[in-house]
Amino acid sequence: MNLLISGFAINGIFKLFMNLGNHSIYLICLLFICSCVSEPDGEVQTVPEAVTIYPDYTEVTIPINIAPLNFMVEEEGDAYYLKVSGEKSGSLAVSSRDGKFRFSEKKWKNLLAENAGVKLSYQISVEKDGSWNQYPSFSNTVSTEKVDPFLYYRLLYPGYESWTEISIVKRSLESFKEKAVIENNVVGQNCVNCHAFNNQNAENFMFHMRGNLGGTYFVENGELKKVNLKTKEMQNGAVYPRWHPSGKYVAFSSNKVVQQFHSMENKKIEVSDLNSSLVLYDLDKNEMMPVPVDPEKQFMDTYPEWSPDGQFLYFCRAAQIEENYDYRDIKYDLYRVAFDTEQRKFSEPELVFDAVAIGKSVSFPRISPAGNVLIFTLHNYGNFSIWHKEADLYSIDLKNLEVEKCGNNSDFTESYHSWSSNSKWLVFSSKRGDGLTARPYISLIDENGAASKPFVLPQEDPGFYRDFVKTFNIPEFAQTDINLTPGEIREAAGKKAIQAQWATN
Amino acid sequence: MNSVSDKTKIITRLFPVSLLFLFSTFFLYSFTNYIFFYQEKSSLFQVSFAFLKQHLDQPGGLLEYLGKLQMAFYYNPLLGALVVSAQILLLVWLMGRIGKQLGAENILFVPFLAGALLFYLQTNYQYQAINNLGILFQLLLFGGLIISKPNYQWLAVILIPVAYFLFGSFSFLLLGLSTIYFLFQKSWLKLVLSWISLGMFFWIGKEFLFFYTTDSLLVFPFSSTAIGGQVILFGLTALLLLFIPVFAKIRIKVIERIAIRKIKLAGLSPYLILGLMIIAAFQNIDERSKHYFHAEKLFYEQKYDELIRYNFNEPTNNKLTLFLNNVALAETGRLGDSFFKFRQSDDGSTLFLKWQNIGQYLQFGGYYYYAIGVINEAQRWAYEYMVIYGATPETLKMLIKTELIKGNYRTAEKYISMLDRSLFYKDDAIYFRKFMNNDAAVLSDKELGRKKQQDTKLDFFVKTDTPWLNLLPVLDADPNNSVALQYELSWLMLQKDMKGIVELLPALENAGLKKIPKNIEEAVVTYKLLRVGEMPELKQLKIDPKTEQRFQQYYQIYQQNQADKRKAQVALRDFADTYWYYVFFN
Repeated sequence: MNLLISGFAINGIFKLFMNLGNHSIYLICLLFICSCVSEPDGEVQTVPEAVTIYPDYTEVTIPINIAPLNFMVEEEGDAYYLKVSGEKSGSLAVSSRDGKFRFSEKKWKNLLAENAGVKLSYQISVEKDGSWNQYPSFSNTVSTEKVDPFLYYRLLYPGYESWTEISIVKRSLESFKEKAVIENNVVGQNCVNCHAFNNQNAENFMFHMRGNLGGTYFVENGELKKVNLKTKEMQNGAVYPRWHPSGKYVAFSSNKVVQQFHSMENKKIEVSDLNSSLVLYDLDKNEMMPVPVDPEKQFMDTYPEWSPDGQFLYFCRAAQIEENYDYRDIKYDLYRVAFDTEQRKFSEPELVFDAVAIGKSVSFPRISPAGNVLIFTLHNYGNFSIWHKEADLYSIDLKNLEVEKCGNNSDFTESYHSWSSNSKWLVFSSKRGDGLTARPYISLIDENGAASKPFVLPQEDPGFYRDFVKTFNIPEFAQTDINLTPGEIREAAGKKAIQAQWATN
Repeated sequence: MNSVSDKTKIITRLFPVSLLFLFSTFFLYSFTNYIFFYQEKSSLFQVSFAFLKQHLDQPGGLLEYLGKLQMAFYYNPLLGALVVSAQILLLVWLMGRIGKQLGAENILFVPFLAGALLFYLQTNYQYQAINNLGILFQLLLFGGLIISKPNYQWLAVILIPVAYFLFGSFSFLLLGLSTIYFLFQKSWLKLVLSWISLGMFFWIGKEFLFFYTTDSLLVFPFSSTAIGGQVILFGLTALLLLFIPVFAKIRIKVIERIAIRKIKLAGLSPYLILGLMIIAAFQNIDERSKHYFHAEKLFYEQKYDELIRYNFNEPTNNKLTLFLNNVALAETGRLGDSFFKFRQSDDGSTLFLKWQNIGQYLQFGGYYYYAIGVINEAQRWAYEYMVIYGATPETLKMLIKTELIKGNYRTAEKYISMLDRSLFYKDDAIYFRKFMNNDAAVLSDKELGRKKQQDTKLDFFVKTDTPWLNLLPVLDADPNNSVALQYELSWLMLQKDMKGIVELLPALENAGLKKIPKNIEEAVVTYKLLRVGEMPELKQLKIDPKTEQRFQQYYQIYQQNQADKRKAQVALRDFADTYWYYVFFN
């Protein structure tokens, strides 16, 4: 049988194994024993300096249902030992030869369940030259608030204008399971972008595809539908989407985007709009209509966002640029406009946050599902914050419109963010790791919009982010699962797009 | 049939097989080693589970992975030649064994012919390792199948879908071979079930497992590019391999009976094939590619003087080679001196590469920006290349260098780790690690330090469609950037803009040049002697009277022959490396 499977060449290897017989079992056992690390014995010295771990999971608040926070110790050593003790009950111990601690998912889950609302204490010891050093412990707080079970994001090279492999990926936050939802290779490397859910509900899901199979794809009753949203009345195509909470509409910005490359600064790319406006798509009627907030074309409106009750459409607004513009002068304020869902009518827009007055620019407004807090990205100019090192997250208390800088920022880019369905957790893209690739960080947000120290999405291999060269784009929490098969995507892509019709109201 | 004697065995099998191996190794190493250079530089094999995993998301991915592993060994051309030759040898032997197993007493012609064809295909620089590897695995599996007991042959039903997953479209060879084999065996059920199992696996994979187009699932990893466009020849070879079970059954008695002494004529057929193969192989040496890849090799090794000498001694019209040559001239401060010693294109395409999503353009275009000190843009070209074509040793080195220059050590570390996971670039990884988190080390390095200081201090948007327009802001920020200055002057020479050249003379002086470079001086002399305009006042730089004399001489010959341009061109051949010659005859 083995001969058949492997052909002539493998036959020899098989024979060798067979000849080893029972010895191979001993060999495997010996290797297993050698790889085990015992816990510290004898005299243990206490080291006053804090131990450095990667990723930094010290003093963070974590959801009760999060996957194990595997990490590695960045101290030289021959053996490593970790004991995690729950404040209420339970503990687990992990040992390692290479400084990488990987927890059993089952034991981790039990430990978190036993310690809901209290702290976990981490005690690390490192053996070096035959003696064990114990470092000061650090802790995590286990929040009783659950995070949505899934995180969707787009994986791509943080490139400039070229792409090959782009995938929209679903990651379980309760385990390390990751699955591709869409990969652009299935449609001949067309670009796939701007995936969006309605209220973290994967049943209302959409994404754009660019290229010869281009169109906007909506998941409707579990089926994929391809629509051409651009009508002849529209100057530009539909770009950044936000679902109306009713699921009946999707607001888009329609942008003419240019991309330029810096010769010097580390931000590398400048992506800016030459013009933009807002449009509304009615899914039932397959109609596109303008959002009539700028009849005189004096402004560039972009990044729509609905209030959870669907009564307001928030958006970013800058003055329309002239021919010889300076990209550094393009600055966006935050506006909103009231919307009558039944009549499909908009009122007059009103200013929510005057960023221009402080010489800044707003992008990505995102309101918590509870409706009390809006978080946006603030940066020096423009609207493509992912390439702005100075971009940080700010929150607005929607009761009094007071603005505060979030506590989860770093010296690097903090940009695209999204809320969990219970309004307790915020996931956002941060480039704090290396300045180039964005990673999804998660923070607990309290009722006043204050953010806890964020932690990066845990990975099975603690060193994962050090080697991974792709970027995590548009992280979005979701409560439910999407299961699109390659065959379904291919079939939908192969069909002619349904043409949306233009309506004035 | 009589058994073959030992002597006959040596003459008909061992000797030609040894000859094939020796000639293949010798030829590939001595005459076409540019193949190994090109292929080795086209990808970077990494020893990591993540790299393997990346290749297992589609049928045929493992074969692609193994192909990259094999190409990594091309780092050493002799090793490459030995590996490829051994592979061909193994294929020939395997075909012989299969033929024998299927009933042929002494099948020689077909294996040798197939081996010779595979060797010939390999002499094309684009013919990749996956092809011979893919064929080898199918023959191994087929060999395993036919020597198994009939009951185990049922496993072909599982084996073929597994082979499809591992080797992609190459498994169709296995399917074809087993189909013919089962036909001869009259094992109809095995035959039908093999097809059904592969069909079902393909359908399940297409619908539920693999995010690839149907075409890609059918064809990958085979591609016309990966066989160097030799579609007919490769197709013929594949057919030859496919019908081995048939050839094993065919006996042409007339041919079998012809013998010289005791050796049958059929037994000598390998010599005939080898003879033809040797002639064809020498015919197939691609001198242009050989020249191009040698120049590229010298460029990567930063042996700029040698590269310039090589291009001077063996002139080329290849614009990419001339582009690299100009970078080498600029990096060694000789662009203004020796610019017209080499053929130049008046549209600037030997001086700059415009942005295009074409492999070699992306691969090299950034070196111009690296030379003039627009480090961001040099990095961008390398990055875009990596995104489209995957990581290669040289693009990674460029990414590492530019990240180190920019002080982005954490990103540099990612790329250094990739080099570290390679088989033959660990020393480079160790070298680059010395600079990690150490600005002083970067600054004191001959290359990195110079580039860090040269890195433009003015932020502007790079114009990749009109690359010459980037020179002015670079010079605005740093008028002493001598490389950018040379490029600007060379561009002006191509534009025949003498006024522009003369206006830049003070800048040349400020940049610390003690002497006006030869070709530039020729432009200045023309401007001066033909009284085109005012000359700027210079403190140090002086025009060499000999250059003025040479111009007078040139002008005189030109005037004597100006009625006949062709005649004038011949008469002025000694001035072919001058600005004057370019102006008058281009």
